[in-house]
Amino acid sequence: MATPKHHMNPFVRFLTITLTIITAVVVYAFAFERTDIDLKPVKDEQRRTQLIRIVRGLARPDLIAHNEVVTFHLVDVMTPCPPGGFTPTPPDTTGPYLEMFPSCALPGSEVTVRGFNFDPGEEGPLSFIPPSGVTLGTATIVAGDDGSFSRTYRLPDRPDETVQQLRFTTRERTGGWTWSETAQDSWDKIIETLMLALVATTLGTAVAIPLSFLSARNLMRTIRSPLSSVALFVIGLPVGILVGRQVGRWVTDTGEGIGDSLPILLGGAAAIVIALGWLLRVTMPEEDDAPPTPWMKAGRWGIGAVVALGGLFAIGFLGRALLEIGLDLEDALGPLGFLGGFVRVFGDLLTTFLTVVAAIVTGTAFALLGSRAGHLVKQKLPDAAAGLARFVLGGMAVAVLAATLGGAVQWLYQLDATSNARATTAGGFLLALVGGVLAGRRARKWISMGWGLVGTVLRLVIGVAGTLAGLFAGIGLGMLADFAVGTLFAASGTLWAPALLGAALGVVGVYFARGWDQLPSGMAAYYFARTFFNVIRSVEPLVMAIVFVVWVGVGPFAGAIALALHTTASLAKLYSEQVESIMEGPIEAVTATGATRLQSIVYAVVPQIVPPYIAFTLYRWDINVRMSTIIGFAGGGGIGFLLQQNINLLLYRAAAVQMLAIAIVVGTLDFVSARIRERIV
Amino acid sequence: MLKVEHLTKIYEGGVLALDDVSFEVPSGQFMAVIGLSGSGKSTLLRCINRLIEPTAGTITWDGEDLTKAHQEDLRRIRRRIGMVFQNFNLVHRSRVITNVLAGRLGYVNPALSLFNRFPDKDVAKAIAQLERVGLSDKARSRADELSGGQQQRVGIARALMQDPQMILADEPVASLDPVLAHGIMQYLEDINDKDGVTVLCSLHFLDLVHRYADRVIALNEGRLVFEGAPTELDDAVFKSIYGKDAERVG
Repeated sequence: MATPKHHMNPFVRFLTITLTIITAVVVYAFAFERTDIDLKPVKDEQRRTQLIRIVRGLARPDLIAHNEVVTFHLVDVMTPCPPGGFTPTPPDTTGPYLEMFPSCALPGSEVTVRGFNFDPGEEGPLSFIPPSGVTLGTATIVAGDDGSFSRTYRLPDRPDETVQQLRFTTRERTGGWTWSETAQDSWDKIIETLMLALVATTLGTAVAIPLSFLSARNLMRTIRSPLSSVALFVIGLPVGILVGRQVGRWVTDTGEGIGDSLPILLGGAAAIVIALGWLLRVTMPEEDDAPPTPWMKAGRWGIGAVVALGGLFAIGFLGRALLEIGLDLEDALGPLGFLGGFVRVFGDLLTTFLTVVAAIVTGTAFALLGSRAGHLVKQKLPDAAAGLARFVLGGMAVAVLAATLGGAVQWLYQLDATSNARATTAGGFLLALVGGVLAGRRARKWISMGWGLVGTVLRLVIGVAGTLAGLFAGIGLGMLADFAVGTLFAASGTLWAPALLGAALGVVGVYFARGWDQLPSGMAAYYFARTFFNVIRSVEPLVMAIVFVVWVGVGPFAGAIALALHTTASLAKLYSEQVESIMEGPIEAVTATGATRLQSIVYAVVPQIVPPYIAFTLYRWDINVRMSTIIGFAGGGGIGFLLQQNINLLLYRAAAVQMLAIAIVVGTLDFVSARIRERIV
Repeated sequence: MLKVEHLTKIYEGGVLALDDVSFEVPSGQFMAVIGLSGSGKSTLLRCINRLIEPTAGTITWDGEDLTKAHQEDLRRIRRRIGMVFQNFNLVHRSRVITNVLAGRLGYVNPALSLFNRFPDKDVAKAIAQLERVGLSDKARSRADELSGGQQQRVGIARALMQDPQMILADEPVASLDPVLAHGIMQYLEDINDKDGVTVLCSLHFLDLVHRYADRVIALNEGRLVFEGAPTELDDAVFKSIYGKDAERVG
């Protein structure tokens, strides 16, 4: 308990402290070196002036524009003088006017410019205007007490045969003010930013909430499943996704065949929803007192499938109806047309994602059904049959995994037939080698330890023989695989070869995993989800924005997708850590009543995590507003785009407006979220 | 009839929590489980409804082997076994009525219950149970607004919602003062008497055992060291349960 410091030898203590300080100094010196810390530019007068200019610009945000009358006072100039000389049109001397002597001169020569009848002290820029209309050689002029001035002016080196002009610009404030153009643009863009962040946050939250339960250790740790269940899950998922995709396409095509008239679409959707609601109400009991028979269970799955299919049709109809309604509303609503636009985009979303939704739902359903069936295999089949099923299912599952992996590899790296064959050869070789080594190890166990030296030598020989056998078998298998891929599966070597290999590996794996009755499937899902989040989270939203800009074009949509993806990953992590810190007691109590896992999450977990979830979501909105400024730099829309432009153009007063807007929004969000949290917690 | 045979539980890490425990509880009996903290009382109760998976042994209840039951069957068994906890284990941020209705989750349609929809008869039943424990006026309050004794009464109402045939009570009164403790124990006694529900209740205070229990079993370091009527708990037995140096406080 007592810290040993009190008893430490004073000299040792002194030495430790000195060493620590020296180490710290050395580390810091290195850090200075690597950070290029150098005070020379800091003292440079010119750089300092520039810094001051920027700071002063930032301190005066370009918010307000005064109402003013701008007057151009012009005088004709010729440079160089035309052959016959040049006589300008005489100015109107009743008001303020300019004169130039001489009225023509060589480019680059000095002339005298005089002005009369101005207001005393009137000020403004004097510029040379070539035919292109730009302003050159600007000088500042101030009228004297009598309203006149006279000054020398060097003509820019712009020879031209036509008449050019000198321009003196005066501005007179007429009282009153308006928001500057910058302020108006910034307002526009900060609203865009807020909405972008809102969409990204809500989308991200919606996806992150269910995922956060998957990545909560305390919920997943207790989930264990028999091997057959895991295997059928793994097989069911991709099969379900493929089936779902087909069903989704079929529903889309069939739906389109029915017609485009609005009453049919809307009526169809309503009729389906009502019919399905009735079906559910009639067939699903409010409470079940007796255990359902297998037939009843099958019937329920069947009704579930019918409802899902009907639901897909309803979504398709509704999506297309909304598409039409939205288009009409956009025209009819005028300034509120964006509401119509929302309806249209929502309808478009429903129809576009119908197939994706069908694939995900069917995939999940097949996987869950498979998992259930796997439990039954273990419970109901006799041991011998269940053991056989384990091998078959395990092999199939790993085959499906390997084929999926192979498909992904093919899609990403676009291997040709030769590389396909080479990969297969290598795979076969490795597999056989592993098999040989393992077989050798097993064979060694048969020789009892009592045989002394003979036994040791025998064991060694058998081990080496196994390895060698594996080596030769590998070469043979590799050649066979090479032949097979080259001739039988020429085009799909990355699909069939991994599948076969996977099946073999799966069977071997099942053989070695026979002691494992309950696989930690929950923790597997946990690590899978965690890894996925960590990968997504470590990609900066800026990089994601660049990718999405390529996909959906420059603008806030790209930024919203990028931020939504990043939000999903980081919120899922934060949420799951909240789930991990809840009280376990209520979960125990609800589980003890006979609730399902899903019910215990809804009744015992969700009420506990509502306040932190809301707090994190609001905080994430705040982060997304700030991040969207960076996203804007990469073309992801929002106020960042404007800010970056102004900084690049050295318009610091304009940039200051955008920085101010961001600060105000972030501050307001902070205040609002604090108030909401107070209410809820 | 609940029949526990050779029940053994070894936790991950090798801790032996229950060591070959066998006993029987006839239906309708009020049985107390006593023993020091850490003697395996909680583990024993949780093995019966499989909140904790036993390592070996069988538990038979009305002819059904609980240790062999799979998912669906286990849920059906659990819904007939109410459980009351030392720390009440209410969901603090939910209303009292929701906490009570949660006792019905094993019976209702899982899909509907996800949207917090319960059949009308269950809602009526929940209010009736709250009336039985004298808390009908608190139905709309948040659970954490209630005092400890009130929370435990909600816990009992939740267990009653299950129409239980057995109640496992894990130190139901250890967090309460003596007056409240008798109040809670009287509810359990009432349920045992009037509804004929079997009660397995772990307890710390021997006067509560004498007052309420029909029979007692005692655990010491995971082993069953005593089984008999509360009146048989003399000083010798007491020292065998709680150690040579222990003194009776009540």
